[in-house]
Parts: sequence; structure tokens; C-alpha cells
Amino acid sequence: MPYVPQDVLDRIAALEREVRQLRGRAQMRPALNQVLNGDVVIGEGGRLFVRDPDGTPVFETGQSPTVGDYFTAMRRDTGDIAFAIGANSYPDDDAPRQMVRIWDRNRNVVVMDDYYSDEFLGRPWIPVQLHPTERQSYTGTTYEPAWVGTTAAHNAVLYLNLTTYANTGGGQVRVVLTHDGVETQLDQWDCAAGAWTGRTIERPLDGLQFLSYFTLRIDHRAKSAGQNCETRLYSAYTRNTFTEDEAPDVPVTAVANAATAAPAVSAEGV
Amino acid sequence: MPVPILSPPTPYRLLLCDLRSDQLLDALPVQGVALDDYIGKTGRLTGTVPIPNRAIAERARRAIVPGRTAVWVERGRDIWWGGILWTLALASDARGFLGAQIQAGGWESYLYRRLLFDTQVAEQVDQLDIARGLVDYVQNTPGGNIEVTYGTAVSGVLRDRTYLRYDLPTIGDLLDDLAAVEDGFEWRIASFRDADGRRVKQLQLGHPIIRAGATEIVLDHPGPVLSYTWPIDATAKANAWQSRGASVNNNQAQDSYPLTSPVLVDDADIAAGWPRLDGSSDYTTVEQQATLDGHARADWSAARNPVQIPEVEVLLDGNITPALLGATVRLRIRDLWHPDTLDARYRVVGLSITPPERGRPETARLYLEVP
Repeated sequence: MPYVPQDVLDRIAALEREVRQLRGRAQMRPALNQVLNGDVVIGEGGRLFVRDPDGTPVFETGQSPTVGDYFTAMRRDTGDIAFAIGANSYPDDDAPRQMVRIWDRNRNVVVMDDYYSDEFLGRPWIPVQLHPTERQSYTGTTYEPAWVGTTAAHNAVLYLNLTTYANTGGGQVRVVLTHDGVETQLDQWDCAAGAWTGRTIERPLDGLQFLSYFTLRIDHRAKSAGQNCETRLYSAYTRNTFTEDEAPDVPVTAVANAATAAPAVSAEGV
Repeated sequence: MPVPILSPPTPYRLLLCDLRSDQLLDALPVQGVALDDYIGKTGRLTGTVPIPNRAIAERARRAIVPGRTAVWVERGRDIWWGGILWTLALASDARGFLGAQIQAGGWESYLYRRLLFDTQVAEQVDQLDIARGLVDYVQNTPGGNIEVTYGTAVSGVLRDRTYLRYDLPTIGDLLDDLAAVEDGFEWRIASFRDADGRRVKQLQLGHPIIRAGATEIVLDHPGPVLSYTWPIDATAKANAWQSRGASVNNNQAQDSYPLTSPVLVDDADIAAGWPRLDGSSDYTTVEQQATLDGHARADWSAARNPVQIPEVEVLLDGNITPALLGATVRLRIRDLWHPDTLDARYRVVGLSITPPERGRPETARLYLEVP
């Protein structure tokens, strides 16, 4: 358009128009629906939800309004919890520390770290290596290994279930755990003659760290020479702690390194 | 304004019509008519309808309804101007003479009174079709048809435009914005009688500019040109330019800033010795970089030279009519400033008619465009 003379009224009208446009635009923002090259911080009681159409938060993170810890939870769109880090993943959840848990669709925890122990996998329960020796059935009167095996410690509590048959004169069985060159006799018991004597051993893996190796040895002997004894192993695995007492005494974890595959400290904001 | 007792016979007649139907309501004499018309600005009419007796008063009362009365100004048989009567001020002077002072705005003023309530989207549409579409939007609403007609010419310039209803823009402003971009167009609504004698309001769209009139009028000074002024205003000159648009950031992790055009600098202008002068413009509704850049280049080009709007005052004679808008006149001036005679052609972009006063004839002032 060409230049034409503008009087004061024209300039006022132009100003009014600009103000009017600004008043409209002042209330308009582009949708802030991207996060690129920077951080978005949710904190101080704030929470982030991803909800499905019926309102189920399939993902939520932030500070729990009830317990106060900062948690992260993921749910199936049925509302069933599927993954959580935190103490209050569902009603009446009293996890004392920030646990990591994964649930199956029937609300069983299928993967978790330990409830009472700050170290160790909680679930799944990992079998312990125990292999029969030639002397699984044995007639000597001095202890010889019936079963041996070396295992990396996954869970906090060792569980063994075995049974021993002793012939005339009876027998004796012991279970020895060795780690870092230190032998610890976990248990020792006598077996009555002519019968199967069962035994269950549940012991915290004291002094062990996650994935440190320990060797188990099940020794047995007959009390009378020439009589045999036989030890059968039903199960050998490690499991999560059921009570606070079961939490093993663990040495202070060394500095995280690649071998222990510890996560790097989050670089958020620092 | 008191009505002059002995006003000269006025050649002007007001045809007062109903705005929507253009039904003639009355035709009244009018005194002290001052009117102007421009390309790029809404024209204005002021005048006074004298009310000498009860009969005229009765007629004027029925015919002059601000906001719904259309005004056509006839001078002789020609329609010189058309618009909408917006204000009426009835005034009596000390002697008891009554006059109805009226003010009217050109037809364009209607488009500035109509808002866009529905989002309109145009993708790769000729800009003149977008303009016509906006006028259609105005006229397709019930009560909104004031019978503005238009031609079918196209510009060949395709535009993408989204007009957002939340901006509540006036249609007139949208047309101005659309026209003001690089390679844009000019628009106005012209009033005239067609070959059949009908009163016509026609949307004139000119790409890149509105041109009218085949015959060239020569204006001499001294001669028919009574006086002239030639203002040159460099306060708005700029050889560097940047335009700001809307903020389009949708990244939560970043601050939001407006879209900006590149800083356009005319190195040739600076090399020619001009000081660097900066300018900027804002288009807070523009969210497309290309559109913003188009605006920036258009504004930058327009601001390149100091604004000159020569005004030439001429006697009203048969040659000078509002139909001159867009026509080219040849101006010849010989005076102290122009000892060698200025002889150049300029386009008429504005025309203002001032009423005769005692001792001064009726004159018209032409506003010219310096290329």
C-alpha cells in the first residue's frame, strides 16, 4: 500500500489495533509439548502422571503425598501396578526403603531388590550350585564332601533342604560355607540309624556382597565303619529376607565401578 | 459548526440509503462537504445537512440513522464517494438555525467493524482469492451483506494463511496484513455507477498496485496547481530492518522468544553515504518464518527512502474526480526550487476535497506517490 497522510486519529487507531492484537496474543501460547536440549524439573511435591483415558495413571513419578518419598510407578492400563521404585507403590505398602519391584499381572512381585537388606537381589530366587561327588553315598567315618559347589551370591538368605540316610550306627552331616578363604560351619547334625534325617538350613549370607563367590560343601560320614550314609539334596537356592533379622551383615560396598555395573550418578542439574 | 447563512449553492447531493438493501431513503442537500479517499486508508466524509424547515427535518430524521445508513455523494450525475454514516451531531446555532452534522467512513470502514469469528485456512491460494474469501466471509453472514462486488483477477502469488479466530481480527486488518507482505497487493472499495446506472461498491484489488485511468492529466505550476507542499520525512527511514513474529517455541526446556526475521541490511544504501538507520516491525500473529520474512522485506523496502507524500492543490474542474485514484498525473513545477522545471509522473494515491470558503473556491488536494 502506498504512503498516505496519517493524522493523529489514524495513529491512535493503529495503536488500538496493535493493543487489541497484543491483548489477544498475550493469552496465547504455543503448546509446550516438547523437551529438547534441557531439563524439565518436577519436584517439591510435584508429580508427573501419564493417564489412560479412564484416568488410570500408567506412569507416575514425583513425591508421594502420603509417605513423602519420591517414587516412580508404572501401571498396566488395568490399574495393576507393574513397576515401582519407592515405598508406597500400593495401599498399605510399608516398604522401609526405596525398593525396586516388578509385578506380574496377578500382583505378585516377580523381580525386586531385597526388602530388608540394602544389598542383594530379592527376587527371583537363584539356585545355588551344588553338585554330587563320588561320595554321595559313603561308608567312611571321616567327613568327606557329598555335595560341593561354588555360587555367586544373588539373594540374601541361603536355603538348603537335604536328607541323609544312615545305616547301622548312624551318621553325621555338616554344611560348610567358604568365602574369601574363611570356612564357616553353618550346621552339623547327627542322623539316626536306619532312617532318613531331613534338615533345612536358612542362613543369611553374612559377610558376603552381591555377586561375591561362596563355596558350599555338604560333608557327611558314617559313625560305624563299613556302614554307609547317603545324602540327597532337595533344594539349594538363595532367597529374599523374610524378616529384618535375616538381613545379612554386609561389608560396606566398595566404590561403584563398571564391574559392579552400578549406575552412574544422575547428572540432572549438577 | 454553525450553518452559514448564505452558503453558495452546493453541487453535492447526499443519497441516503439503507446500508443492507441499498434502498434509497432520501436525497438531501448538504453543505460544507469535505471528503477524502485514499488507496490504503479509509476515506471520510463530513458535511452538514441544513434543516431549514419541519419537512426537511422530518425527512432527515428518518433517513439519517448512524450505523445503518449508507451515504452516496453525488456531484452532478457522478457518484464521487460512498460510505457508511457513522455519526450524527445535531447542532443549532445562536440564531436557531439547525444543522445535522454528519460523518461517514468509506465502505472499507465496514470491514474494520467485522471480526473473524471462525478460523479460516488457506493453503496455496492466490492472495487475491484469499482477500475475496474474507469479503465473502463478511457478506455470507446474516445481516452482513452490504453488496460489495469484486472482479475475478488473480495475482499469481499463492499464499498459505491461517487466520485464527482467537485473534478476533477485523477483516479489514486481515486484508491490510495480507496486502502488506512482499509482492502483495493494494485494495480499496470504489463507488461508482455502472453502465446501467446502478450504484456499485466494488472491491478493487490491484497487484502489485491499483492503477486507473488511461488518459494522463497534466498539472502545471504555476497554472492549475494552486499550491503544493512536498514534505520529506526521514524519521521513519531505515536501511536495516528486523521483524518480530509470534513465539513458536514448544520446547518446555527452552525460553520462548518471538520468531525473528534475519536482520536485513542494505549495504548499498550505506555505501552511498547514508547513516545506518534501524527499524523494526511486529507481527505477533505470524508463526511462519517465510511469511515473517516476506513482511520484513516488504517493510524494509518501504522504509528504504524517506517518506514523501507530495500534496498538490488544484481547482476542482471536470478532470479532477475521485476516479483519479490510482491514475498517473504528470506534474510540472517551475519555481525557485525547481528552476529547470520538475517534470515527472506520479500516481494519485489520495484525494481530498475541501469545501469552498468565502474568497476561496472549491479545491481538491491530490496526494501523490513518489516511486
